Amino acid sequence: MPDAVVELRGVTKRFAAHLAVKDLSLSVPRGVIYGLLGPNGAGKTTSIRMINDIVKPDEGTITLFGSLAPGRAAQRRIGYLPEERGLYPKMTVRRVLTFLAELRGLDRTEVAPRVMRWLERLELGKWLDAKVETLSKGMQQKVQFIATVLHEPDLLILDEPFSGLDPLNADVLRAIVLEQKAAGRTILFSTHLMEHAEQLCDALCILARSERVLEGSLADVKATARDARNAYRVEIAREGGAPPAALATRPGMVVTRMPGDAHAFDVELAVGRAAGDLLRSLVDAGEEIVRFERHVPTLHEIFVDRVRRHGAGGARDGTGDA
Amino acid sequence: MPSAWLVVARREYSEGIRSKLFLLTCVLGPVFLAAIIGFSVWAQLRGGGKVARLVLVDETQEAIGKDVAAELEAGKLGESQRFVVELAPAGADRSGLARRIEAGSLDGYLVLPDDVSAGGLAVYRGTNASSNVDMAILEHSLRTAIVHVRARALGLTAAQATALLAPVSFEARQPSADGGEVTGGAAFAVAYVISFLLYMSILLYGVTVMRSVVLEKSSRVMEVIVSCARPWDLMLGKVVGNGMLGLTQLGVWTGLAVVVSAFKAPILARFAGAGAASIVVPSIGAGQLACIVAFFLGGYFLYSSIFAAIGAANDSERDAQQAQMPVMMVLIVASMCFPIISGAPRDPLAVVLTTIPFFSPVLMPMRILITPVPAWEIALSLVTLLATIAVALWCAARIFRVGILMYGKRSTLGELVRWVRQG
Repeated sequence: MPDAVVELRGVTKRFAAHLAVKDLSLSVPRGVIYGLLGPNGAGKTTSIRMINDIVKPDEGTITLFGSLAPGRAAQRRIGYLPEERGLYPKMTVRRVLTFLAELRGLDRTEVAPRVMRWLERLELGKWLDAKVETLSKGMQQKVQFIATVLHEPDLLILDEPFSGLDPLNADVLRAIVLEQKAAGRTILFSTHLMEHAEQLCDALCILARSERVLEGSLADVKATARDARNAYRVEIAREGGAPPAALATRPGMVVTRMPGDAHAFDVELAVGRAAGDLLRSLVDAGEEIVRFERHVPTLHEIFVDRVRRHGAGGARDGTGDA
Repeated sequence: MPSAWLVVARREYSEGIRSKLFLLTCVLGPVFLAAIIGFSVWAQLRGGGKVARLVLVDETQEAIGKDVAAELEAGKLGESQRFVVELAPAGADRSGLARRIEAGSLDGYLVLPDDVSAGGLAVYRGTNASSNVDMAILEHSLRTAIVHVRARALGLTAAQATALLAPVSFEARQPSADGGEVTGGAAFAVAYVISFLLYMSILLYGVTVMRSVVLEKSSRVMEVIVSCARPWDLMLGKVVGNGMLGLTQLGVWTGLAVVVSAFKAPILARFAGAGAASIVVPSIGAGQLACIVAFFLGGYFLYSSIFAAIGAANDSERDAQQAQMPVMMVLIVASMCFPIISGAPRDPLAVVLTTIPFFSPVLMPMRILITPVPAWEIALSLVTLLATIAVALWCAARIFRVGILMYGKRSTLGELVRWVRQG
């Protein structure tokens, strides 16, 4: 893809005897929110660290912004929020933000107004000259977000950004991420929580056991998973009793009643069998149909299914979420 | 746009200079040192501060005891009399005296054997036997009395004996760099104080670098930092920033010394008595100052790069403190060599010691301050030091690069060696 902001080709990384990332290729298009999904120990953090030039790949190439290798020039255009977060406890908010922005190549004079603007926006204005250690954990997290976006990076890399956040700060972060996307920036984030991924991602890559199992846009991934099955959700209006005869399991059709709802059913048809027949038989039987729809699996279902199939259901704990 | 190491160095400096530790060492360092020196001098002179009561057991035929007693009671320190003497005959009950000492009504007793004037051993037993001042007065009084006895035996008059014993005046002076000369004791004291301050500063700021690295690891700020600065930039920035802090500290101390030395005459007169006016305190030449700064910076770079590597290999301050012990021992051994240097600054041993890179940063300044050192020896010492710094920085950078992202376990020496070799 010519307009890829992050491009990995055949990237492999070993630590001593442990293979952290195996032959990984992926491509993050410009302007999207891209999810790097996988169970703990799948190689998400190692991949992110390689993009940030914190560790070097053993094999393969990484290209950033179309032409750069990981390094100083690329780092100035990246905002990185690591999973292990922390700030200098004895420094004031103003000085710690200024320092981190200067490290990313910003001039001190540019930093001051931006710091003020962000602090005001996140309701931290009066903490400008307070020491970090006097702030609550939630406030420290907000300062950390500011540090990540202060230099207006083209690419945001967030490693498990929602872990350890309270619901309020999770919303703050989500708002920042969407706003950055609207401003044309690219966001790469890792998570093992599929709800976050489903809400935010435009595209994604699932890793399991150091390998890629799936990559593509969220819509494509879901469509593929939908098409792989011939499943329907059926809900009828009917007073009590046994399920209608039209919804009895028979060859080529497996019906399960939805737990907790007597009127809703999951119907799995054999591949190739038309749903119209089922619909017609329900109509013919005089059932009042409330809902009849193609079942689209959730990202969570897709993830669990693919990772299980890859044989990493019981992810090794680990020599780290390395 | 400033380089990353410069940004890091600036942070280390500006945070360091705001810290209470810096302020405390700036002000309290010299105060502390002066207090130690002042207190030890005062404690020596005071020697318990009270009049010692002693019994003189006189076993001599000539009854030398009363002469010794007269000398002792005349012996004064400043304004105060030091001894009250009680004479006892030869057969005095020793165990009774011991009991009186135990009870506290007596400080000690001196036994003069019959042959004392012929070289027999006079023994003093007492609770103040470790007081240098008391024992010096005791020995001096004994010597004076016995010399008078011997003089009488040779047929000399008392006046002749006194003339024979008249004090000899002597003072050691040493040529100084500015072409003048300084009092030997003062040169020694100044060299000692400066070397000690260098030793303290190198240790203090080396350990500061280590703590700064450990703090970044333990507060988890490290990951963000290494995502925007190379480990080398981070290490160099820390070493340089804290080095500047150390130089600032030495600058403040030098400033204080200049101010104090402007008032040196009244201060010396006030604290050391009128006789001290003759003490000539050495002034330090520009060349010497340049050497001191060069060796301080060299020593600091050498030790702080090692301390930085130790910090990177540990993620808690307690572990790091244990791991730093061997390095601190090397510096302590260096400071234990101070007497060797001051005792014989031109001896081959001193030349060798001041060329060893781990010792030269504190020992060479001392030698330079005490005696003129040939330029080639200084050059050799500096070159050796610089070469060692290069090796230490190279090794430390490799350990640093791997260590900063290692968490949760203490690294063994074997692992460190592997990190250096793998690079």
